[in-house]
Amino acid sequence: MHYVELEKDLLQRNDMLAENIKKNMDDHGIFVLNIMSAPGAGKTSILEAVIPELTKKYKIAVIEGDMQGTADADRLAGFDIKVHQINTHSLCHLEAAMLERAILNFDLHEVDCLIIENVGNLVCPADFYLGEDEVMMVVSVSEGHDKPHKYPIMFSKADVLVLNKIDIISSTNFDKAIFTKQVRDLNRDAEIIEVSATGKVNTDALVKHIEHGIQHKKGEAHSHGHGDDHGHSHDHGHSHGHTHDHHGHHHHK
Amino acid sequence: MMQGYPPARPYTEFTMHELSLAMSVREIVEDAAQQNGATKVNTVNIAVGEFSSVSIDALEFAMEVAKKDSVFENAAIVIRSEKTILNCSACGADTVMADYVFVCGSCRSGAVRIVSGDRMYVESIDIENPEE
Repeated sequence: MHYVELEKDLLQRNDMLAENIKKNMDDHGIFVLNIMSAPGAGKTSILEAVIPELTKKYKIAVIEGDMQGTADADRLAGFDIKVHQINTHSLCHLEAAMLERAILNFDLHEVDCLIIENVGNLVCPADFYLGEDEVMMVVSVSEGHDKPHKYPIMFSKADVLVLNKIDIISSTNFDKAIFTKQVRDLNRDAEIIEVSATGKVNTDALVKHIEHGIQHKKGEAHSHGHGDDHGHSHDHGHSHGHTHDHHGHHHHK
Repeated sequence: MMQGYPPARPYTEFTMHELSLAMSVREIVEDAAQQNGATKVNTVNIAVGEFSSVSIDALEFAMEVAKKDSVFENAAIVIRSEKTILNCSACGADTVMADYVFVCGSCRSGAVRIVSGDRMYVESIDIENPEE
């Protein structure tokens, strides 16, 4: 009998595929955004609000992730973008292997920004690095201000948090101070942007945030040796290379 | 009582979070067994970081399914939970994360990052070689 040390990470294969995706996206100067949230928080509504503005300047591709159906891809079909729907059938999150296959549907020379709308789920998507540049988490005021403590992993990995449905906050008992404190316990650096996607409140701030990411990535594509190496997704929110400007909106504490 | 079925599709396509991870373990163990000329695997030691979305119970159950018809079919699967360690850039200390709060256990600064205990990995296997 003998003992063999392995120290082999279970997610190694996923992470290797994700690193390949990242390299491919970097080579093309494409900004990749991975959007996560609970089901119904407003990921697709947010895309419906920001895409018309983004497409004025940039070429956008969207990958939709859902267990079944094409509901979200159908909602985006009328916009001037390329969209591809992944059906996981019963897997609760997107993985790098699925993304690699989906990306084959796009001509990467014709893409400035790839937006991945992950499967609605507050748990598993956070574990699977997809090669993204930024993790955007969407939380809505109707979900309760106590969710960060309950779902610490996703909240800690978010680079930016979008607090959606802000226009109906008075119909809930959502306490922004409690929510912000819980977020800051887990995540010092993530910007919190308050919007209403369907009410078109402050969606400009979100458009500017994404445009900033796209411009930054394009700048990187032309200057090699830029010190913005994201590595594993576990670094998101902690050793993030970007300096965030607040674009004039208020940071509630 | 759920029945176990041998894998029919590549592991990354598997349903159920922990079953997909169990199939990754299978791939790792089968590769390692082959590389080391093992005829039998007695034990597989797995570590799961506390700061991960993995249920050890579910993984144990999934491993029973994943090991069928493999080189480690009769191996003991040992899964341990690994504490999450935070390194503080304010005081330099490594402390154990408490309650998923990103605060240094030594100086209470928020300037911390996870250095270990947020991943899952196959630590080691105990094998039999033909010569033994």
